Amino acid sequence: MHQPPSATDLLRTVAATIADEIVPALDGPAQHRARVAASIVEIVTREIDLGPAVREAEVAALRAIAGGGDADPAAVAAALRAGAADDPAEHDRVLELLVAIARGDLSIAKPGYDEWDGD
Amino acid sequence: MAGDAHSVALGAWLSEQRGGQVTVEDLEPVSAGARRFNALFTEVDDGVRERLALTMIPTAAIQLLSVADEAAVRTLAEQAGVPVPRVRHVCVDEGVLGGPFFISTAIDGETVPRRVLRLVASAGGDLGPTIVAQIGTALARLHSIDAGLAPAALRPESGNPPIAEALAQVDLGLSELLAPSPAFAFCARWLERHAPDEPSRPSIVHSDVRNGNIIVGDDGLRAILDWEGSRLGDPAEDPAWTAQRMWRFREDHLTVGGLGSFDTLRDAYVAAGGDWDADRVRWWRVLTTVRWGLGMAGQSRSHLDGSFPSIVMAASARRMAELEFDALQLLR
Repeated sequence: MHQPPSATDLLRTVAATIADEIVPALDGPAQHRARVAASIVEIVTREIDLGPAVREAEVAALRAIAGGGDADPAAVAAALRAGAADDPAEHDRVLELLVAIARGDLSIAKPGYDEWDGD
Repeated sequence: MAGDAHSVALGAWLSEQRGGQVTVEDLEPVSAGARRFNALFTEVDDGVRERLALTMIPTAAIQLLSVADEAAVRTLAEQAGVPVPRVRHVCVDEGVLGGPFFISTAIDGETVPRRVLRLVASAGGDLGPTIVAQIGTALARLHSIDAGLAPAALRPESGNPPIAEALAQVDLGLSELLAPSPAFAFCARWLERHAPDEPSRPSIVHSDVRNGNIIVGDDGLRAILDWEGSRLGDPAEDPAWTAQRMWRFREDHLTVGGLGSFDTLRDAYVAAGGDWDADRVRWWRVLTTVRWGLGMAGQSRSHLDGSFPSIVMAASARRMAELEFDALQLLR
């Protein structure tokens, strides 16, 4: 068992070091890549923290889309592509569940992006 | 691309074109993307100095449209009243600079999206909506061009009409995903069921008009850039693409590039003679959102398979949820 800092504490420190110290010291394409690197570390840190709960909610939503059946995402995608949610009421129900899944992914990849209700 | 050697090569080529002594000074790279090299330089011809822009495609194999065809489209657009940097020279000989290139007039102004938004904010007044209206007018003029004048390369290789081609691309993109996307599968079904009729009249479509591909000044829109994605298509695609959330840079309430409203774009487009079918434009908004999301996943695949290893490409797939979310919001 390691002493703290934890793995995610260390990753947060890596992200902050890249963003606050390394990015300002660079310019041009290298600076852009360093910014992307900091962003990736932030995303992966959130994925470690939030990933298990987000995946659990996704599985529940996929099962609900499948009407309590198979939560395999490939099977759900194939059914939706083939028209399983064509009925207007079913379209609305499935849409909300898919939005919930996207919100979960965004909580990891881009927090705050889901504060938009369409134009 | 080393500046000095290319200044000399470019000066020699220009001298040959003009039949006089032309020198190239102050060659300044402005952006070096994966697909093209853009630079500004000063041409000195018999003591007359002029700032010009160089666009060079480093590898002929990866150009979307040949420099000659891109130049031809820009000239057609200019003749129709679309603001574009005027093309001065086209060189298809890859031996001069290491790739085909063209030279156009350099136009002052802002192109970097955040600087564009800062300029608009500091100018106050109606500069943002003015730019949006000018984009609407420019698009209507572009779409009014007789498609028969367009270079043959603008027709899709598949021979498919635009709606069928776009739907086929979505299904191809879905089939290539390394992890399934129920959200995009749902959108693909919606797109298929709500597909509009093929356009009665195909038009030259720019396909990437947005905040980021325009030059603006305190007087408004000065030029539309980056015509390499031009093709014959459904004109409704262009206004739809301007409204992507990605081009708003957090100014979410200003639908067109964080600059102004979609109504402003539509009113100007219609006033300049364009046909606006709201359902058709909405369909293209969904289609282009899904297509961009699938493209993000594709970028990361090209990192993973080694064809384009890059941290930027690697990060792209984590952005797909943004496009899934946006596309679903458009289906409410």
